[in-house]
Amino acid sequence: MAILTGLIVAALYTPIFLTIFYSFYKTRKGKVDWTSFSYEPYTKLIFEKQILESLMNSIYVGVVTVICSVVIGFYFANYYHTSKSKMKEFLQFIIFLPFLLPPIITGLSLLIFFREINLPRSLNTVVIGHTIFVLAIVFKIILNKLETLKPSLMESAYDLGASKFQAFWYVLLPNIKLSLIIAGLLAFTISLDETLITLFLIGNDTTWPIKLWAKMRVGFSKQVNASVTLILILTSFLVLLIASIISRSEKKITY
Amino acid sequence: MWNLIPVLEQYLKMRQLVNYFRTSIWTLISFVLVISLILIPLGSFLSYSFFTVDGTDIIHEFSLFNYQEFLTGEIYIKTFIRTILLALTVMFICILLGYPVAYFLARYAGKYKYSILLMLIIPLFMSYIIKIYMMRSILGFSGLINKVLKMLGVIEKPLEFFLWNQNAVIITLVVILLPLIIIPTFTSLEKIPKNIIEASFDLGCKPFQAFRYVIFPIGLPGLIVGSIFVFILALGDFVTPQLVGGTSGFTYGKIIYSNFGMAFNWPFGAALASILLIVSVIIILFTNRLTEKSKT
Amino acid sequence: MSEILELKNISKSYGETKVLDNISFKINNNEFFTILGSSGSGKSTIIRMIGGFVKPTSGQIFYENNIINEQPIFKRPFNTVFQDYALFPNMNVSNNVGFGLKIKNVNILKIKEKVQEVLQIVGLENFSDRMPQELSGGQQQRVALARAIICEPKVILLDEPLGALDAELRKQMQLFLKEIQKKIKISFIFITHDQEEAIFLSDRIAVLNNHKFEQIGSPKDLYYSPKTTYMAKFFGECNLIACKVVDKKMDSIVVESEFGQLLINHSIDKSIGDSLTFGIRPEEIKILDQSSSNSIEVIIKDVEFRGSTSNLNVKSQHSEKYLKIQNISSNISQPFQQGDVINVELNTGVGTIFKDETIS
Repeated sequence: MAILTGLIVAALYTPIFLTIFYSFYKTRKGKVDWTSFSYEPYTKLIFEKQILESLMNSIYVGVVTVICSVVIGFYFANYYHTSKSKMKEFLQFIIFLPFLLPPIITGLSLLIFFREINLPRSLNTVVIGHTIFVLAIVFKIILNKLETLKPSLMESAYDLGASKFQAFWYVLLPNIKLSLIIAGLLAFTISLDETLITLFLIGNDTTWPIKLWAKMRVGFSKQVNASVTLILILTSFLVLLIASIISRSEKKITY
Repeated sequence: MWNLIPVLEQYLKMRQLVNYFRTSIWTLISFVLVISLILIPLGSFLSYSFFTVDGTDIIHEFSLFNYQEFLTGEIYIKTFIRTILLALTVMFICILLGYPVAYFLARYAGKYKYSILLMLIIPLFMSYIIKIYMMRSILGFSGLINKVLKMLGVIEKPLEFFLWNQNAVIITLVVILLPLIIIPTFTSLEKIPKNIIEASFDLGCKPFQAFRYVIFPIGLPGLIVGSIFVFILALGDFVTPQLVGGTSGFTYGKIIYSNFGMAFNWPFGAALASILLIVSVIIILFTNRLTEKSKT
Repeated sequence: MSEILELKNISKSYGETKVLDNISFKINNNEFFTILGSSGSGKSTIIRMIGGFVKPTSGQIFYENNIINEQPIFKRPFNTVFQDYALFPNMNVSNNVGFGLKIKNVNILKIKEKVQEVLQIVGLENFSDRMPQELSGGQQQRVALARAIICEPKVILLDEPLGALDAELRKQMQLFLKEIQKKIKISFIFITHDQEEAIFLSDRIAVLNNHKFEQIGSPKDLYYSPKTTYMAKFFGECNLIACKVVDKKMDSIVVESEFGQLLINHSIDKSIGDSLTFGIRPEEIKILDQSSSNSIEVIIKDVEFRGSTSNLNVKSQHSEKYLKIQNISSNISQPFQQGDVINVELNTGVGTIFKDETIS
């Protein structure tokens, strides 16, 4: 079983390492030219306006998605946590739908909806799509954190004379800060790579995965491989960051 | 003399009313938001499935035409069934590969288990398109697999077995979706208290019996959740089949997508997607009940 | 009485940390044997070794005179009741209870019959279709016990099974365990950190301290004849008085202590000038109305009212040493107050003499 695990880790990483590899080395007729190592694609990347623009678009979408999804996600998590209404189960089910359904359905239902209300497709429609898609995860992470807090925490804040806002700002927020950060980072990571929903909602702009998709028909240039490598480094960094925050916050609880 | 008390009472009542209104307005906004961005789009796409198209115009009139088309056009049902089988195959391969890994991590990997799990999770967030592209070059005619096999002397000519067919789609989807089955399975296996496993040995179980009667059934919900995730994502994927599947990449998701692209028949695409939606919702509800049941 | 299980010179270390240091004891048939120790003293390790979950670093475990150190868990004729019950969450009560028989391929009808029988013993015959999560703590406890006794093991190992229950339920379960053990006639090895529980339940108790057994014996032995000052203080309270022998008679000695001269009714191998520690329980000190030949005079420091009894803390006339005296509260004729001077007599016949030990 250990061997199988090793093989699977290898299988999952082979495509990724190959990409990094091809960004440094040239191949000719299927053979690797070992002397061709160069950083050149990375420096040339600066001149690839299209790729850079798509990267910027992706980052824009990612950042706005994070803000929207964390704010709305927190709001719903807090509502779900404090409300006694029976509707909340229904609400949770709805929030989870876009995450559980095939992305194609979320994508095309929003496409049809935007057409019906005459909203032209743009990066902002992509943001809406991404926000809806990641909302379930953000909601769940924040809710899990809220549920570990004792009700007496907020009650004691009110008891000591805090206003609603003060209780939120000085007591609740510092306690759930980490979960908000984790949720935000996760939302950003997912948004950065989202393809299936984006394909339906993107207008004339392109995000980075869509650019890759378009470039794939003609084959990847070394600059594309270089951009992939950079993004891979960024996403691994983000995931590792999330993991370290989680493990550190868990240690805090046990000690 | 003014009597202040009734005035105060009035004021308090007003405050209460305002407060009540304020909280309910937030509730209202949140519901409107969710309903307008999730439910209404779903509804509008369901209703589209009952419209028809005339050239480039969409005729907003109720009709069952699209569903009739689906039921009579043999190719659609055939493709649908073929895609379901494809997704099932992907799911079973993922279970076959993923379960032992999750089991190994949860029971034997000791202090390394979280690091290895993290290594398995990271690829999940790494560019989906890139993974497909690279799988294409690995599986291809002059790709890595053929080269290695040739080098080992297993084959003389490169195999075409790997690209532009169903196998390629299956392999690629497995590589992309495998972490999704490992994570929930690992979590539910890891949550089994050590003393429950000890209790099974204590009552006379040999290692395999402990697995069969205790560990496997208790860990099952995680496996089911992971499998369903894999199944639904494989079922709805249209990019992977298109990019590595060649002519057999004509899956159900691909048909839906093409109706929104070149074919420009949104209502028909919506109808096909509605069928996918219904199947998915049934599976989700069924799974939900299954896992809820085993929780209590 | 025949013994069925023996642990001989057992030690266990995890790396550098020593958990058990050269422990030996025997378990008799149908015995309720308790291992008593504070948390972290290694008491769980002992029964996990017997059960087969942990291997001893050195020493042997004998079952019916055969060494079973290497026998796998599932072959050992012992069953364990785990601390937090460890019921299988995926099986209902009757499947949980019948599990051990099912694994041994016993006929299904036979299992059903047995399960019903055992559930009746533990008083849960109406709960057979419930899931463990739907039961209260006490009920889960009974299921765990039923699951252990159904295989008719030679020994049942109970790893602090009452630890998670509240005081009231704990009392009930103690009674219940004692009854069951008498009914089914299987040896119980029971682990607890609660002295009262151990005294109430056990035929014999082994007290674990500092990775070793301090003393093994019946509850009465341990209470009235503690071997060490640790043991004397471990069960209830004990006054320890440092003395010096000043005179020796036929079957008694006279000692000088901080409370004055005492006559101790023990024949003991001590010569004049030897020092010793004398231990006496608070209830073995009597309050007298008048001074007598063997009484000492003390000053009351404070009175602790404990309901049916009261404890008096009294101070010696000559030094800063204190004694604890237990007195029946209903004794209204003597309303003691702080500062009163009273005469007390020590019932030295039931006290214990510890040789040359420093009072800890």
